[in-house]
Amino acid sequence: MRQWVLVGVLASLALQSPAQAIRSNAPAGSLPRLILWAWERPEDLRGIGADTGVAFLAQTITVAGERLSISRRKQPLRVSPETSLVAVTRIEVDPLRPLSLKPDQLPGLVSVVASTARLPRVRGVQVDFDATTSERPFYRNLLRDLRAAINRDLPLSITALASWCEGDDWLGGLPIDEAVPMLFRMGPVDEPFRRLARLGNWNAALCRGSLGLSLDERFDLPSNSRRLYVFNPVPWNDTALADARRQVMR
Amino acid sequence: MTLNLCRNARLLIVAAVSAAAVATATTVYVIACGGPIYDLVTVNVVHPAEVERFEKGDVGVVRPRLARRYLAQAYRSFSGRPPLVVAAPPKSTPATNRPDPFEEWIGARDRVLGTTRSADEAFASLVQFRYVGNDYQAIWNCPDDAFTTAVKTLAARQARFGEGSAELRDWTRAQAVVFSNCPGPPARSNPQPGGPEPLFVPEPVPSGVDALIRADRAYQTAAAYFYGLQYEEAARRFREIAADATSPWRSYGQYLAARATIRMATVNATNDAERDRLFGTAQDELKRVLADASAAALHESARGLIDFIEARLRIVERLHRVSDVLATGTSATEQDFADYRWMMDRLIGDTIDYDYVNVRRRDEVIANDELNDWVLAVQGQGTAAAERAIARWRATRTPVWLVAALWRAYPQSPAAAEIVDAARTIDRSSPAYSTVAFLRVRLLTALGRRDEARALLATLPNGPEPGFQAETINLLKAERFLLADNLGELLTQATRSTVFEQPAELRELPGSPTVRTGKPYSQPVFDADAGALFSRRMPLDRLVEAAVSPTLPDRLRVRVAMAAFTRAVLLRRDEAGLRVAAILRQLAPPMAADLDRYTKAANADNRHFAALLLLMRTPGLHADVRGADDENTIDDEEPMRAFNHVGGNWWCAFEEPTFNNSWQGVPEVINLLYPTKQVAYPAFITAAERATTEQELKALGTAGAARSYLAAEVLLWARARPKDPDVPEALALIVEGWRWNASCFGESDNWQLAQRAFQTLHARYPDSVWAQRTKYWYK
Repeated sequence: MRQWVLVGVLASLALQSPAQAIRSNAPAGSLPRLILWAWERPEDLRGIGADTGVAFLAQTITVAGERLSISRRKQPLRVSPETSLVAVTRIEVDPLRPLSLKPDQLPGLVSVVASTARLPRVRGVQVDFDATTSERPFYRNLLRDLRAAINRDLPLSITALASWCEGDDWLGGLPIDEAVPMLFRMGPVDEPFRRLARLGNWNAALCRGSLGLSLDERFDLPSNSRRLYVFNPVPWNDTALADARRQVMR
Repeated sequence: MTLNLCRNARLLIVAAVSAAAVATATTVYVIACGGPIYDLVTVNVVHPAEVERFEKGDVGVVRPRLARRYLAQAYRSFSGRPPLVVAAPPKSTPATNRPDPFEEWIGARDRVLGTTRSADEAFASLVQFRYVGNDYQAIWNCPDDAFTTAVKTLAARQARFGEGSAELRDWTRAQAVVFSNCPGPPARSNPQPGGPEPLFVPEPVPSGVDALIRADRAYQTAAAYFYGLQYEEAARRFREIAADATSPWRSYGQYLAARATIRMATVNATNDAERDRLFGTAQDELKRVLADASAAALHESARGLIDFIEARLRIVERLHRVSDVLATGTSATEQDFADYRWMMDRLIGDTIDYDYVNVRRRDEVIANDELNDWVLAVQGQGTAAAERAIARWRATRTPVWLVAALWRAYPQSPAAAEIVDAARTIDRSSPAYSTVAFLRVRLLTALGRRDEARALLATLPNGPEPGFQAETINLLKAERFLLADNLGELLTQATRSTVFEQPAELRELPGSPTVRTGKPYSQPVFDADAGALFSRRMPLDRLVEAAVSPTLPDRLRVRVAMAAFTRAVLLRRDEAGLRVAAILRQLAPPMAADLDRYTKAANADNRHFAALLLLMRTPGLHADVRGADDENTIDDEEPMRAFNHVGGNWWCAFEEPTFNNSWQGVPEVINLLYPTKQVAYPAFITAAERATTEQELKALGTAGAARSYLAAEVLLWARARPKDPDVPEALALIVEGWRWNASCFGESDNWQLAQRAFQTLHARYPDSVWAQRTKYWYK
């Protein structure tokens, strides 16, 4: 009987907005202020110290129509035991075969992303998916179920196109702790978004706590106590790390 | 006319925003775009534009920044060897029809056991890959072959023991246990928190069972240890199987023991000495496999594993062997190319831009290995590379080293003149001819022997033909452009053809030749050299002349005309403006009415106001000439007449364009032909014209970015002609334009101009439709 009650409660929760369904107990504030993105290349970050975290690409999921393929990280990441880790799952959609997953494929996909939370010493999960407008309902459901699937004490974040932070606020109500505005590779729309980022008053509240920058582009935004995620197109070294640290101090 | 809504390569959705200076609700336009923007490329970087032709020996102009696999092919061509035949992968069932081994296994298992697949088995790759060690990297723990073998064995045991037999069920259940080790804890639901990773081993068989069942279970148990990452125990058990003459798995025993030992070396070894010792053990075992005729089916794989070990134990020696295959063999496999790339990347770095002197173990890499020697001399940067290339050319006098010497020779090099003269001896039938010709022109130009360079260019084709692919023709046109003697020539050579299209970010990825839009782009295009030259190395009068000339195709001619007209307005050069206005009227009919007003204005002030209104109404008017196109701009045939909410409105400040600090890198045409990475003045532009150009650019620079200039001018106009009926519209467009022209980096943020325009509009023209439409102003 108790099980049926539980099923009923869960079913009613599923009908509510994602934010109402599950909330995290551990906001992203538990993570360091500087987080280095470590993409798919060998990285030795054993010397970065406990004040700096690493968001590493744990896997890439490629969606082509109804087909999914998962590519786990194949390059070593070396970190010291005290380093806070965020496991990143990148989702890509084949431009020639638009996403058309069936609802019954969602649990499997969620379990794939959630599995990264169980990697050793992972203290946060991040999803990197440049979802188009038509892909947003799918993404929203994925995040809803992912939030439910991982430990509630684990911060869940996403990378956010800058437009998401200022646009129609589709981020509102997502069951995530942080949306990181990606302020690089923006071409001509770079400046207006940077101005907004400088002010820090994005429409979407979830975007206000962090910035995503790249070392090979203008690196001139004040962090203003926000968490800084830094991408480096080449492997990290001491010089690059020093540049990232300087930015945090701004 | 097409509005370019999408201009972002990395981020797939873009929106235009601006901070509203009012606290009330702000309308924000969100424009969603899908997919990256493809740049239209005239000279590719890492991959030749026509890979298939290249690999058949039609290599065109071989360039240092091509991937090393292409340089290896070019080396063969230039050395007089036939193209390397790349062995096709084994023929198999087309991928779309081939059953997935994992799916086949799940189906067979469930059929025998009556089970259903679990959520953890939702995707093959989720099961097959397993994170290992503490480095967050995954290995392909259970490859397809494992499932294929399982399915085949299941079928064999079914034939032997019967479909519903207990033996078959027992075998299948045990095999399912074996495969449960594949994914490892993170992919399983409810993993054991902390502690050692669990190992799942099938139950032992009772004594007295059939020998085949016993042998199967021994094999399954060893495999369970293998997939459970217990490699030492797995190797021990596989060796026992190898020693069991009665086991049907005997021939696999030695081979799998070797594989387990390799895993110990790659996954478990904690130091180089241990790793090397384990590799040595594995190599000995693999040699025993090769000596075992009964294991013939495994010999090819064993040889591959020996090569794998060699590449890790003795990388330079193995590199030389692969290099020899690529340089002198008659055929090679994709694996040879992959090995070559892996080893060179290990020694040089995964890059095409590196200093010759910094290559690790360089002397060993090039010792008695001409291919490697040549690749490093062509590709490595710095005078040491030049010295090596020249020394080798002097020693050999061969075309292949002549190409290297030509690439590396610099004007101050004592050998430069000697090399450029030697290049004349290359016969037109040589595969190196187009490369040598291109480089000879380049070096003659650098040596100041311009006439000789032009004379040589005159003998070279103007359109594609064997040996001169479209990409090569683009490079020759770029040289002709650089050496043009008059404007007509320059305009003729400014246009190129698109040979490739690719998102900038993917340009250097190994698999990127396949990333194309598949659309034909037959329109002539500019490249970065033309854009930079028209924008910074021509006085206004020459731009007007270029616009008036019918040489350029209309789509490109209008770009030049736009810049000329805009500059004429900014510089208050009405005579130039009137000349080009007639051309713009013809090329861009929607602008006709505004251009007529400009042309027919009664005096200079009226003409200037008409020009301002035209500029305000035509945000697509730029003061610079765009160079390379992308898949969106290729469709632009006339200037935009409405504000583009994602950028591209008007122009920014007039700074010297630099290519070095772009994340997209220096365009290849600039990289190859302009040593300072700056486009030079054409020879026919006189000293006086150069001085004029500099003065004009300085004056344009003083005018600043478009929105500041236009705002200031319109405010002056409103003050001088308050009753002009077009003033309200101009003021309103200032406010709107301020919002959408916010993308100029470094522009002084004089937002008070927008505020003044807004206040003037509402104070003086409150009842105008423009005031009613303009509710906010923007910082």
